[in-house]
Amino acid sequence: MNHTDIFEIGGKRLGSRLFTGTGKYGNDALIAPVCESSGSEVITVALRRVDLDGKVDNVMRHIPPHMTLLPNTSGARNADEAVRIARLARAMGCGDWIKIEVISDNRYLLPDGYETAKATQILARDGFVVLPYMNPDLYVARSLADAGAAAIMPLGAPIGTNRGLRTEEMIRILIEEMELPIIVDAGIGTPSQACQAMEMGAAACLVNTAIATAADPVLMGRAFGRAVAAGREAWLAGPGAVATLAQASSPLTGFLDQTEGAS
Amino acid sequence: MSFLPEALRLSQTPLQLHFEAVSGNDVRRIVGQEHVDAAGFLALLSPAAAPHLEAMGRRAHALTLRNFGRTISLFTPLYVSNHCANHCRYCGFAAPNTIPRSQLSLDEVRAEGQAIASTGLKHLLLLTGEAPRKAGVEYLEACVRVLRPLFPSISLEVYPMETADYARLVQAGVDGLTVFQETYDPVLYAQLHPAGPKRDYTFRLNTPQRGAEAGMRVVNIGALLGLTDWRQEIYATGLHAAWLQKRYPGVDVAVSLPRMRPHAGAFQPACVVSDRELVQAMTALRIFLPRLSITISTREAPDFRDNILPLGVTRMSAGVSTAVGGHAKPAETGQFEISDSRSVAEMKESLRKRGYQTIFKDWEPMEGSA
Amino acid sequence: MHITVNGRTQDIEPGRTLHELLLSMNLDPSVVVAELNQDIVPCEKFVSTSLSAGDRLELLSFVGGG
Repeated sequence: MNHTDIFEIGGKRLGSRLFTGTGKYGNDALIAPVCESSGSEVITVALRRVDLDGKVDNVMRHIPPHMTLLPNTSGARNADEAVRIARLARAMGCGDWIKIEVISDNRYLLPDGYETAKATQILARDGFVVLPYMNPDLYVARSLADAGAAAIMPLGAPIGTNRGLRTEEMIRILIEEMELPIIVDAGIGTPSQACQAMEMGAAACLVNTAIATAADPVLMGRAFGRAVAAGREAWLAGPGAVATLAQASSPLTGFLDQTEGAS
Repeated sequence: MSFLPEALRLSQTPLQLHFEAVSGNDVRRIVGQEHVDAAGFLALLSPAAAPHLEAMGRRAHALTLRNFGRTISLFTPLYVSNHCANHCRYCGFAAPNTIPRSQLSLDEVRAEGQAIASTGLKHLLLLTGEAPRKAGVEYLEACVRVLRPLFPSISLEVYPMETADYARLVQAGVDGLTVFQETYDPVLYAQLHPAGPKRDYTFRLNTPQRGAEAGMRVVNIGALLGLTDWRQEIYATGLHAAWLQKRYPGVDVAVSLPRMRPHAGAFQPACVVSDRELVQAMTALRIFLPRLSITISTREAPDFRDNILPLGVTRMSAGVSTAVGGHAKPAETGQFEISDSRSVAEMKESLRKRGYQTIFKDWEPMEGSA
Repeated sequence: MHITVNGRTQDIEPGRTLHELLLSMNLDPSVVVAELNQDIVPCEKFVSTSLSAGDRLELLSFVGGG
């Protein structure tokens, strides 16, 4: 990983721009080796009622202690439920990061931007580091930023579809227009798609399904780690850097204003 | 098949009406297009595009980066003879002008070549006036044979020749041909070339084509900016380049943008082309023809040449003398006044400071190939 | 006395603390969060929180999720 490129977010300094998840693993014992192979430093979990009947194999056992936990509010159908889950998650004592996921659409699992914004406002005021999951929409993004989100997490494609960056153009617009880090979440099916997201200027990618359901999750985790790093380096090395330079200094044709009239 | 019918049609088309129909939105849309057609090119040359120069500049920059990288090719001209039978009203070498006339001997050519080669340049442009009996095909062929061991790439900017002559010179080692139409307006052309072989508009217009057919790898065209309305001329130049590119896909089509400067004669440009307008022309050409080579010579001032580096230019001259010889022997009267007298080393350093790599040698023909 | 745990009625001894309840259910208190009558019980208060009849208790823990 490129250690000179640090992702500062929520009071943390991350050396990896790949966030991973803990869902859909055939065997939770793979979670720790995937964290290692991928280099990821942020991992999502969900909060559910304890299973009173069966044995409680807690996912926390498999998460290396250095990982930053990012609980999500999956299950919440409105802002109030999301807030409730977030507070419960924080009570676990594992930090105050929260991924807001408010979905009442069971067909496509598309997030409710309005409720997400409401929850973001309440939780941000309550001191949470809020990472809201959303459908890429510039207006919603602005509401989330105004509400105090620490980042914006637009979906690349509906959850679990692994269809890549279907919302590419909209994500591009968010990257262009928003000051907040843009973390592409959902829909990334291959390392090349993650690389593409990073090349576009995304701050990070969250990949769960594609790694957990791969034939070899540990190897796939490594591939994703590299892909995200490669895409980030391409962004830093490439046109993105030039655009920054051009905006920081004078425009390409600015010199003409000084020599107006000369021929 | 010739570009002539198109050139004539263009010269009879008043562009003003087309320009009036162009809006700022049109320009913005065209700048964002992946492929720009002739109509789009024309819109980019319109007055309505002037406020959008920065956007055009950015697009031109992106296209140039994509197709050429951060490189500039350097070359220098070597005038081997200034004998000329033409009476071009705007040229320092025109027959009526009483200036010292000379022609380099082959030894002098060799000395000049060695002096130039020692600066690191590997691409040479040989120039003469129009005097076939003094500085004709045989003489040029001899010069080329002397210079070929010193330069992997030799181009010619001489009087229009027949295809067979070009083929002979290609055999001798020439890989590029430069010929400027000066003006694409036949009426003005006739006025500016009252006497001498250059009077023949059509023969000159078809020259790049003959060069391509003779095996020239690079064909460089252009209009002398300032003779008449620059928008009309650049439009015609762009269409001519597009026509050549389409018809001769193996040829590297290039455009130069010579802007009139003071010279020995009394002729002054009818239209003064401002820096802003020259930039508009260059960026429009780049956007219209992303793979077009674009040359800016030392007619232009050092600051200007440095500032336009990101805007589409791909070739520049350095260490220039527009007098006969001028590299090994002292310079006399030049064809035009030079504004940028920086040496090759200075140009290279200037380019490096701005993040550009200087390309001295673009390619080298293999043994046995033309 | 009866309380409700995760929606299920359960019979427990009066005065039982939350901590004791969790242990009796073979749950590791350090990986469980508790919401008692819609209020979150901080984990350090498990040992001092006594349950009353009719209490509605939600016990949750982290599970795999994306």
